[in-house]
Amino acid sequence: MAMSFKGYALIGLTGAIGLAASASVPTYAQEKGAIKIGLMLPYKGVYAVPAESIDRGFQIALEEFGNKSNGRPIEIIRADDELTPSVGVQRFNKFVQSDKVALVAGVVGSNVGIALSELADKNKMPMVFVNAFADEITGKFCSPYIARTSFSANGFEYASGKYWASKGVKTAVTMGPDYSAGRAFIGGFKRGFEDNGGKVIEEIWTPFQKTKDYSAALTQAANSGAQIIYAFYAGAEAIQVVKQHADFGLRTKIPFIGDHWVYDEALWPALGDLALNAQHVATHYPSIETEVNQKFVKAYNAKYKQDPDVSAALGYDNGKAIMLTLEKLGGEMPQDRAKFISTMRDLTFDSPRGKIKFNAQNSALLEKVYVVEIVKGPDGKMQRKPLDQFPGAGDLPGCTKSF
Amino acid sequence: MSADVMLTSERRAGAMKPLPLPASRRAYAALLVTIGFGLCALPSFVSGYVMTLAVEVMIAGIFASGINLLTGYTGLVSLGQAMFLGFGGYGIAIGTALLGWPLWISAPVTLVVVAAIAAPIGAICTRTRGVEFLLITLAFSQMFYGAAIKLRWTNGSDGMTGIPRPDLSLLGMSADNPTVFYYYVLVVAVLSLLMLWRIVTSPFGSVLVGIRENERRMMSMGYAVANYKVGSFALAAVICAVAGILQSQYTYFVNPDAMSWQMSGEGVLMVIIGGANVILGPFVGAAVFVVVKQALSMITEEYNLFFGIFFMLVVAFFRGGVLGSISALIGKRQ
Repeated sequence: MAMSFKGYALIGLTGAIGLAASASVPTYAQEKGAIKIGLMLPYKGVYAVPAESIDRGFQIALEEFGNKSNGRPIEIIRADDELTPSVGVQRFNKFVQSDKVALVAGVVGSNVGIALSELADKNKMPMVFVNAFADEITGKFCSPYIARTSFSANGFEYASGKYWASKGVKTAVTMGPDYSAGRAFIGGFKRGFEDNGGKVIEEIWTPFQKTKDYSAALTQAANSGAQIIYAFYAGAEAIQVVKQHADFGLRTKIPFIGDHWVYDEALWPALGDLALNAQHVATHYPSIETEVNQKFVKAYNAKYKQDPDVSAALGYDNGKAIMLTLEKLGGEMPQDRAKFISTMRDLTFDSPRGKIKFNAQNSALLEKVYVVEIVKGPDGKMQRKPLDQFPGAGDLPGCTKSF
Repeated sequence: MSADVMLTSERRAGAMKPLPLPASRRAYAALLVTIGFGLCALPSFVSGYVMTLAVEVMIAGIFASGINLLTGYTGLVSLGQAMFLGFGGYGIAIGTALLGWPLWISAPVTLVVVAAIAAPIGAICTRTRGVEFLLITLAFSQMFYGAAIKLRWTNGSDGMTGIPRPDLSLLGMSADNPTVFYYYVLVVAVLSLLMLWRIVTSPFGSVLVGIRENERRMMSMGYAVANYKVGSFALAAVICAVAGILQSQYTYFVNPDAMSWQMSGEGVLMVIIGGANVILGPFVGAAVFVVVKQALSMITEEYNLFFGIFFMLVVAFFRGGVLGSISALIGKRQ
């Protein structure tokens, strides 16, 4: 038996080598029908709320173009990366090999983004990130096949740190989830804050996706003696941490300053009055008085009967950048797919948040960052009051490739 | 009472011989040949995605085979084998990216290091048995999982990217091509199976089965049972590390998730689904696992729920796993 097993295995091996030698390189069929876009978002779990908003914003952008590019219909194929790199990799492979998409859009988690960056590069598949803010994605892991339509963590948070330092805040304690995006955002804030005279007394990291209890971290923060807590949280984690901050009676002791993810509109129903009078930084809010934004807010309201939150705006920018690029390319994905990304890099367009331009690393830049306060409007509903604004910062260097 | 006796004797009959019944050997061999040819010819018939799934099945199959050596043959149920999966991936990542070694040095060095780490861990873990063994292996793997999340020089929870696939330019091929990578994994899977086959049919393998069936008797026969158990543990670890290397090459990426207890659990599930102590069992289990999970995830978002139900059905109706049930069926007909 052992002999025959070996014999069969030998036959198998020989066959394998023979077939491998004759295996032809798969050819990319020129798709004539719809342009397929793979949209990968974490539809379940802690980022389910922002994922849904991004999806909606994305659809609004596509509808602006009638869901067509140069007469060819656009087909969105959705996949859930479950905010887990290994799942994201599987879904990405399915997009490339089974669904045969022209490009992949979406991706919220930087952890998934980092895992996909190498895969996109190796598969020569254009990957247009909607969030994935970690600086490394267009830094250390940059690729001619990767672009990001939002902004980098540093672009947003360095500017924010600089702003708070200039407003008389001398000391801060930071809180954030312990993963790439959390580290990137808080790191950006710290650089901006300390470069401009502030001092981060303590950095507190909470386990990402694995905790619902922030009491130890909040107690530590309250006892640090800093003037403010500066935090980055999103989705379900933001709700829990803001609620617990209030439950412990810390609202009068040490303000919990965050960004538009901590105080996201989508979380207002859950936060209730806790969101009221919170000051935070934002890259977009619905009442920005530009024509482009008002048009977007109107279209979003018409379809979904609510104001878009920042994630919806980011999803819109993602969809719009893709559509504008396709339009420039005549509704065709070029043979050399890197050309799709380089065409996108040359785009400049007005978005709800302001003007969008890309840098040499294919990362979109922030024209301005807004400081707002959440107040009760004349209709009794919560809304944002603009307090101030400042320009976004540049990206961190780190990309060693040239394209 | 009588049912009890029957169960034990049945189990023993199946267990002492690697292949259950002489008459079913021919069927088994025919099955092997069919599978072998089918796998070799697969890329000529199917689209790229099926091949990707096949790659996932083979990698998971190698991983589960490592677990099977420990669980199925030696009778030690471990919930920590994923740590060696992670060691495999991190090993070549550290070797190639941090130390700058070529892959053909990094991979063997990784396997040697894994064996060297697994031996003392095995020496500690195999002093216990049953639930305690399960828990101590779990504890070890969680310890390394925690370390991988915190270690900054391996990028913490972000993991490491840019893991190289083998350079096949000498043969005029690129392993980035899915077809070529498929054959690469197939060759490694066949070699791993052959190695396992040698192990379980050797006197060493018989001692392992003896330990599973009656450890005290093996001791009284004069076998140094403890050494055999450590040997089984280290060999299982090396096979799991081979799977880890392939997995990280498949995704060009490794992160601490590879070491999570869920991965260990999935491996044990594959062994149970396919049939423990049958050499091809883990591969069949891996195939069922990957394909059913994939099919369910295309139908519903909540696929994990239905997958749980599916698993319960398998345990309830396929005693001895899929392969075990098939060979029992063949046995009955004769």
